[in-house]
Amino acid sequence: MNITSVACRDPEHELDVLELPGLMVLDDLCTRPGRLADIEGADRLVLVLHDGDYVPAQIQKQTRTMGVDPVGVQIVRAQDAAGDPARLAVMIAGAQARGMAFTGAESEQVKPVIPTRLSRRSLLSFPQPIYEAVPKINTGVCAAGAGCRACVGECPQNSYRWIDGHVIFDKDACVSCGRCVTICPTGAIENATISGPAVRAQITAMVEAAPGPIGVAFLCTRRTQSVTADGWFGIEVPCASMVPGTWPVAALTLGAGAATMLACSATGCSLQHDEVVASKVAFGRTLAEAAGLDPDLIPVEATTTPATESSLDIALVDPFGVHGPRALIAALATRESDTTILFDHPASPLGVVEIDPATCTMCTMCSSTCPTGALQHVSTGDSLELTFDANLCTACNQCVPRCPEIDRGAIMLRRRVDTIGLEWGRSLVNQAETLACEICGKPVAPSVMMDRIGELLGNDFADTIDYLNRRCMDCRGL
Amino acid sequence: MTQATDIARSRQGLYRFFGSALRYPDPAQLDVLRAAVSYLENMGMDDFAYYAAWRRFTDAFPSTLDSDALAVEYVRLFASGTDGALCPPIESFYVARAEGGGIAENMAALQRTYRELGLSTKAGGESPDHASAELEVLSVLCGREAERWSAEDLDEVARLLARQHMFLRTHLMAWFPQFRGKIAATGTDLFYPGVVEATYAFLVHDVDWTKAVLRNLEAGS
Repeated sequence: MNITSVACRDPEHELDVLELPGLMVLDDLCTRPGRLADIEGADRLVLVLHDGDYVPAQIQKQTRTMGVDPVGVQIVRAQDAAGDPARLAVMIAGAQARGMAFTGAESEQVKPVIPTRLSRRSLLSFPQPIYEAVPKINTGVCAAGAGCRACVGECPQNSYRWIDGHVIFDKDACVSCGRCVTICPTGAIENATISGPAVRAQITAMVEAAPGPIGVAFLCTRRTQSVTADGWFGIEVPCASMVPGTWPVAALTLGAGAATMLACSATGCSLQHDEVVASKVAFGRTLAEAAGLDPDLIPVEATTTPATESSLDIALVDPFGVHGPRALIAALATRESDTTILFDHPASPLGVVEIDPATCTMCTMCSSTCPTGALQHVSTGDSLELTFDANLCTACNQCVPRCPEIDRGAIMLRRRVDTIGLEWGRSLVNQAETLACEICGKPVAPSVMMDRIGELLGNDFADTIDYLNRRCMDCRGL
Repeated sequence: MTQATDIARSRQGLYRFFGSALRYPDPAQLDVLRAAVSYLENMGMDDFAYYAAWRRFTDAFPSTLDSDALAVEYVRLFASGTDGALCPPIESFYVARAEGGGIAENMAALQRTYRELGLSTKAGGESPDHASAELEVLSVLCGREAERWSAEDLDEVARLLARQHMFLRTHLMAWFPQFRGKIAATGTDLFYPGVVEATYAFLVHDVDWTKAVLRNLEAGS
């Protein structure tokens, strides 16, 4: 795989930032992307362009013609280098690493967007379409069949619908914010522009290329503002609100001296996810503090120059993957001497399910729906056991709405980080005696469930309930 | 800027190309397809995302392939299934229940749709639920769309686009992904997998494209 980095030289902008080894320079590349046609053998591209000077659709067309997937092209904004060649070198190193980690986009993972024209006459000709990356559901991993609809609840555009165990995705409605990608408890939703390995590669490369400590800020790829504070670098994501609160801490484990995420609705973004972003930053700060770190390593603003490189010596396989938050938090708790990390937070990517044995009927709706297997039920012959493993819970909250006894508080999800719970692993949260069939001896149903049905039906159906209690479905002739 | 008429003509050509490529091969077919590749390449396809799949297909288009070898491969993949590689390019095979007249119902529904569009399948040609027939229907609709663009009849353009979108969603895209999966699983690399991949990329794009243009027309009206 060959990655080529090319910069635009434009007399109106700083020339000195472009004098970097290995960086190809083409005059007026922003306005004349056809000049890329001279480059041979490139599988991936990093382009250093001047924001506002180039037409994204033209860049996409040119790279497509070259046989390079436009979705994987990394565009570095020359303005973000603030005229500093060393800074530009770090940005390019990060972009190259991210570009190399790009694994390709399938046909379903892009959608054409045609700029809206307002006059009737202008409808007769089209500007070049621009292609936006959209998510794709890996149906082999998706847990919709079990009842999971985490994406449906998370999508601010109502792009997802759940129908009969299938999730239907409306590409047209999607604005590519990426929130479904990180909320999916099974990692079934993929957006070609962002992956855990790509983010990890980018941060690692930037840390290695930088002469001193750096800060990384996750920020929207469509942003209008720049991150130019000394020592700070942007990591583009589809929308900052998709970034779990653990990601800034994960960036520290890769050597970043500080990390955060920045909302951009103040600059005109219509998604208006500021509160979500603020809550996730607050989670990161709380987590850092609970783990004995300085919470200011996760600052609210990317302005203060990072003083030192991170000393957080934790090696994680996939800190930005679906199991990354749990792995990170468990590692934080055990990194020096065992530390208990315990706090509730609305942006916690981990959860703890609590069952009230007094009202739970052991109907197993919660465990049947749980997309990760955190809640499981097992029949032991004469009893039914419900168990919970906090290591598998992503706080997706699919179990709670399915509970028929939700109004009586039978189940509750606490958005909680609890490293003791993680250590314990799977534990029993409820159990009930199972009624046995008087004919064949097979389990009929949990006794508490039948009691509850009897309670709801009242005395008029006492004989029916008594019959149901004694016979399994097979022996009832059903 | 590209004229809307040209885009519709290009789509018309691509539908016809893919439809022809998936028909039982005749001796002249390969030459016609090779000539069509050059023609279509000049129609601004690189503006669109399916170009990558198209290019993969044309780059791998075997220059030495003869129509006899292609006919053998056609029968092996799409008709005989004697080596377990049966993946017919036929809608009813994938969407209709074999029992209870499901196939006949599906064929009748397609025939009805064709009649509503003023079309019918040729006697002795492929069945109405064959990929080549369905792709040809879309080619005809794109041709009509191009004419309406030229006449600046945007209301009719919108109606034709909506028709294409609906036909794609309810017919081709209801089974082509499954067909594509079966072809890929055969492991063969002689012409057809490339055609199917390129067709699939184009169909996925065209579902989005028709919707995007419709939305644009609504915003501009």
